[in-house]
Amino acid sequence: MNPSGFLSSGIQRIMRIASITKGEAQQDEKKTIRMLSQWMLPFMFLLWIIFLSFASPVFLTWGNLFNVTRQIAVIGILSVTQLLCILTGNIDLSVGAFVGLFGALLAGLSIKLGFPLAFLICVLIALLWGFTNGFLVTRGEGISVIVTLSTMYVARGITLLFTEGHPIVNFPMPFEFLGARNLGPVPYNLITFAIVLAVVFVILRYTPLGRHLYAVGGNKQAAKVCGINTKKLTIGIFMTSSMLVALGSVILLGRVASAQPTAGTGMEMDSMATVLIGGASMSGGRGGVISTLIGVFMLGFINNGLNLLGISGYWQYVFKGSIILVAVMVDLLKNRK
Amino acid sequence: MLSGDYLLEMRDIHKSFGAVRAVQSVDLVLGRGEILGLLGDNAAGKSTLMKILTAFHKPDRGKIYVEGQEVHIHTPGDARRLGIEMIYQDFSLAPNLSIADNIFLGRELTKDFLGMRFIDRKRMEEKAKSAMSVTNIRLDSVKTIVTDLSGGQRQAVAIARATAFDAKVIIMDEPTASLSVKTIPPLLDLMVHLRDQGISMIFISHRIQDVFSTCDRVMVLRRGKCVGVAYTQDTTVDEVTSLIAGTQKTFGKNAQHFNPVGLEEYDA
Ligand SMILES: Nc1ncnc2c1ncn2[C@@H]1O[C@H](COP(=O)(O)OP(=O)(O)O)[C@@H](O)[C@H]1O
Ligand SMILES: [Mg+2]
Repeated sequence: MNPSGFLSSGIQRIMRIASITKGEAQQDEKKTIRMLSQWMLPFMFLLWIIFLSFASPVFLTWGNLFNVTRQIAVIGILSVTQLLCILTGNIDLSVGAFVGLFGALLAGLSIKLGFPLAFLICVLIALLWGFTNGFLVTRGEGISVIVTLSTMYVARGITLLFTEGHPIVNFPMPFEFLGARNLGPVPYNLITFAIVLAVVFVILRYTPLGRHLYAVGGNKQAAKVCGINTKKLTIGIFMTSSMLVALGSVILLGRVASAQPTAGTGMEMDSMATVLIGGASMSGGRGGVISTLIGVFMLGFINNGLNLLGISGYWQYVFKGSIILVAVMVDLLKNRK
Repeated sequence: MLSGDYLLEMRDIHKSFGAVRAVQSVDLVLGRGEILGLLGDNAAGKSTLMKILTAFHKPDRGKIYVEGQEVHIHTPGDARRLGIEMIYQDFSLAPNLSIADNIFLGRELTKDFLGMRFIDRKRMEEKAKSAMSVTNIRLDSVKTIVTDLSGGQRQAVAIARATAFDAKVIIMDEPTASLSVKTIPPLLDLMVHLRDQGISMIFISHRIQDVFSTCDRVMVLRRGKCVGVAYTQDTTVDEVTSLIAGTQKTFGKNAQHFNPVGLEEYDA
């Protein structure tokens, strides 16, 4: 490059910097806030890990880490489900109760009808369940909380009626291996979770459908004017959700070898916590599979840490509730205009 | 001048919201490569009429023709496939997506892999870049997230989205209302530029001066009814203002030679 060219391009650059307006400065500030809030929770988590590794001698042992990892599959799959709902600006509070309902129905009906027929019926019920949730949610704006809170009660009630409050045991369970066995050193439940993660990751990142999901969450009106059928998409999400929850339920059945009437209790809160810790936005449109996976591990290590420190299980409620609140507040900070 | 060979026709359109008769028996025709100014007071029915074209509202009555063929627009996707694009006042962009993703939202470019369709990011970004260049707005990258854009830049994205797919008609509903004044002249220039490339436009604005400097014809709505259509060269800002306010019933003699309805010729 000749010197005069160099000079003039330098001048141009300076002029450009000088012309940065107040608006652009505000944009920069916004970006900084976004960056800070994005890394705040992971940073706190890192502090927690460091603290634990000093406070508890067993924390950083392979045995303990493996223990945490093998417990994350069910809540992990439910978190992916919740991620899809939250991304599109909804929430599914019925996931936990439906884990219980699906497990009870599958176990109970398997005893009466044999596994294959029972499985078929339960899958159809799950699809119908998802469709009902989705259909009701699309009747109005922002009603997913109350709709799925109601269906959560319905599911829990039916489960208790069906099981008469007792666990169901001794049922045929060909998929027991999903919850209870390993492929070599790796538990099948982790493999299943990994497959779910990978599929959803690819869909969200690399397919038109993924773009549409983010668009619906970011600006539903914009998605509509671009020809996206937002209602169909939402119903599809809730049906996918119920199928994944059913998968989680099968893994749980295999692991504990009994259908507990209270199975899945609190998992709606856990799945919400992991997605929000992972930086998703309650108002939709932001979040991803990787950050949700980080959220799943974070919640796993928080529970594990509290156990190792011998802190009462009751405190876990306080912690989880607080974490969700912090995550929501951070989210608001991110969205600040 | 306008011939019988219209690009877009709306005939005898009616739309009520309960007791509110938002649009009553309105006829609108649009020629090829012309800009039609749609004027009227607040609540005159301008937006409602346009939203019927993009299936945001379903008309109670009336027919729509594109290039002489009757069309039924049931979804926003139908409108897009017919080449009808609307630029909304709020730009209707997904703030969480990139410029390129917004431009291609709903019609992503894909490549096949193992029998499945995946997004072709590279091609989308290239094409988005050339679509953005139409607007003469400088941007670092089409990967920028829309949240980080200014109002003028967002509008550029909305315009790029409308022009990237061989649009025949672009509807702009008060595109200048949420912008700073300095961004208006470039927008008007761009509209004329697009018109010269053969794209027809319907331009809704309260700034009558802007309408006169860009539009070939103007159409005035008042309380849901069309009170007149005229070539801009045959009328004046004052006359149009009186029509909008209702102090004058319809266009004077100078502008009368344009028959706004044309139903008779049409039915014949
Ligand atoms: N979705 C709607 N529901 C009920 N009334 C509406 C709706 N949209 C528009 N209107 C009414 O229709 C009339 C025309 O509105 P609009 O087309 O927005 O007017 P303009 O765009 O000319 O200001 C107004 O009285 C408005 O209140
Ligand atoms: Mg309007």
